[in-house]
Amino acid sequence: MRSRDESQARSDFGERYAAPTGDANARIEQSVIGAVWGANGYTTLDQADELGRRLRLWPGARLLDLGTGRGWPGLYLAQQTGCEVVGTDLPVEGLEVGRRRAHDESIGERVSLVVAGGADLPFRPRSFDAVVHTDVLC
Amino acid sequence: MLRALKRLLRPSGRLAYTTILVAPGLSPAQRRNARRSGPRAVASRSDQRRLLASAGYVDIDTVDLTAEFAATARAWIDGWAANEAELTTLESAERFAERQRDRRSQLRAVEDGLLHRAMFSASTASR
Repeated sequence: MRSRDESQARSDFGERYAAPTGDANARIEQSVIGAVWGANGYTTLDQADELGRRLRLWPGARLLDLGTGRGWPGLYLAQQTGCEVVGTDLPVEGLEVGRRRAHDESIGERVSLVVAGGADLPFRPRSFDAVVHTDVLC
Repeated sequence: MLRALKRLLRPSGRLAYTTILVAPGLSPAQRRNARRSGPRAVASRSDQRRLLASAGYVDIDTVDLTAEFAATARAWIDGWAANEAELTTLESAERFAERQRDRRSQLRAVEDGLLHRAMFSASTASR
């Protein structure tokens, strides 16, 4: 993604993630994707499970979730498999919601959320067992 | 990007992702329409399998999700429309209308065969 696009995306998504979600959004999300993670994209619960199967995650595996938003599907996969997850995104507002959710789900010690864009990932080589993303990169 | 992710993965590491693709075989005008209609990150090339292979991934697999893409887009549009009164207390009516317009435009592009969605998975080599 180009940096101007990244800047616009950060602004658009930051605004959305900072907004209150409300009961109606939660009801709609549950009915459309089968879970409530503050997402409004196209990845359904079944597809998140399929991504998890394909990633062959295990307790303690280290997963990178690029463009995690409020934590979907990275936090969900950590919750389901016992893996550790590092979630990245540009809008800090979404990551803050994810951090609170990780704490509430008692998986906070296995979750790190990092402000980073796809073109500039601040991680050491060979530091992940798995990488996931949903419709965020070209 | 696929090469950068490969460097971050350990040997026998796994990559899995969904992506929205401009359908192959379109005219230049259709391609422009597809890019305009899709979400921001729709510039994905449709030859992801080849890109994965040339980046050095193995065990490449893909599943088409285009029908589910359309169904999910329709479900969002219908869900938001049915809850318009409540949702417009959370955001402006203009923003709500803009969101619905964007989503309908994406759905139309999927129904017209301009946009696809697929899941890809692959591994890094064992050493």
